[in-house]
Amino acid sequence: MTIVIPASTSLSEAWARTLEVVHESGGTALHVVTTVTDPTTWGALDPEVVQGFHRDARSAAKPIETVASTIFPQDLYRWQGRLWHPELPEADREEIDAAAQELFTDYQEMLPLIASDPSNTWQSTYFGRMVQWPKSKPPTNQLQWCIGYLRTQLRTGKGRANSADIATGGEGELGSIQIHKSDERRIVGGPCLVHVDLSVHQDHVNLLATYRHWHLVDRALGNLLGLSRLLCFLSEQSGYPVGELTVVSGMANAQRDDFGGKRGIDGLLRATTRVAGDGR
Amino acid sequence: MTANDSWGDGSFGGLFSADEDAPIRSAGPSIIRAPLAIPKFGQLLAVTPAELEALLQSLLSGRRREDPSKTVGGDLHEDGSLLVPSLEAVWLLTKIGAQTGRARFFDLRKIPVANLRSLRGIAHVIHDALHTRSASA
Repeated sequence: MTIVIPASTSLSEAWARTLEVVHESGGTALHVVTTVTDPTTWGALDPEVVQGFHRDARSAAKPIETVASTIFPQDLYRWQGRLWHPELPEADREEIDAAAQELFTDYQEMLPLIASDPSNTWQSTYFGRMVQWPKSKPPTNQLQWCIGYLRTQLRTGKGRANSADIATGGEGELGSIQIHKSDERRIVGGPCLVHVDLSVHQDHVNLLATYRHWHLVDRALGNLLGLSRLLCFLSEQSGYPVGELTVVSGMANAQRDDFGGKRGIDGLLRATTRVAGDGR
Repeated sequence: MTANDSWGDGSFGGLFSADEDAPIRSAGPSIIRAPLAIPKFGQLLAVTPAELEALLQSLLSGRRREDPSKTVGGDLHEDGSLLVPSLEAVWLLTKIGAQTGRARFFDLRKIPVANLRSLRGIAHVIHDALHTRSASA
């Protein structure tokens, strides 16, 4: 049955509430909706609480920043600190364009090497699929197209309730542009994030991410952080302020089997509450 | 992806035109990152690990568009050289690998991750790879 988690202000609060509800539902839950109303805020949670839990469990979980970088590689982008706008001086607009172009070019050039990473089981990353859809000729840069579309909406004043989409997995294919499309048959394993939907509503850009299977303990915090950065990037580049971030997971998993059973997840939630307090 | 009327008029132009066929606007020299000065493969073979480390540092400064003195002032690895975020380490290997003219000159399956965390470690990875591959060619 669908579970709608009460909307949270910050990323870490949304994560903790989702984990708590799914854990109380028996450890797994179908069709879970998680919403962050201000995705630019992390919240009070010390990430070390979660990463320390991973280490104590002798988990192979990657650091939160590493998980986040597969969705948006923040270390490669020069944040501009201002939103694109058609009335900005041309030099400012070109500076914003150049920051994105360098990010795209650098990442596309790096993709063959990234694909050789032994921990990368599907030969790309989420961001890789966004800026260069596998096997598409010429390479399809979905982000570049989305930004162009959103800028046109802003310039023409049409941006009220339109949407654009970014596919990261076969299930999220769009029209004729995807190559892997529906012949991608993985049932479990990457990519878990299959689709990103962007909607402009009340002059803000909002992001809806669809996960087939959402691993709440070793991935979800990094996922939320990466999605938040992706949304901030799209906001800066499109000119629309950041709206809300929502994740819909087909199956949300509290990962009891991997992290000490019910008692293990109880302990993580206690530590999370103790450190973060009510605000998480 | 094909533009159509319902997805904007595509008339904005520039890099992010809704029409992907539109030409990409070229920005002025102050906007686009300066070309990176990377020695050719033959020249790279002649440099020491210390010289490679200095070269990598200048490449990082160029990529970040920051003054070299700021780059030098970054966080340090326990080996005394700069800490390098993993994505920038991969970027450095990509740039050097491109100078060799060989596809997939570097292979992350064969490089311990720990060796990519510092500028000195990356310089040694590159130095070793250049000389190993050169000897086996």
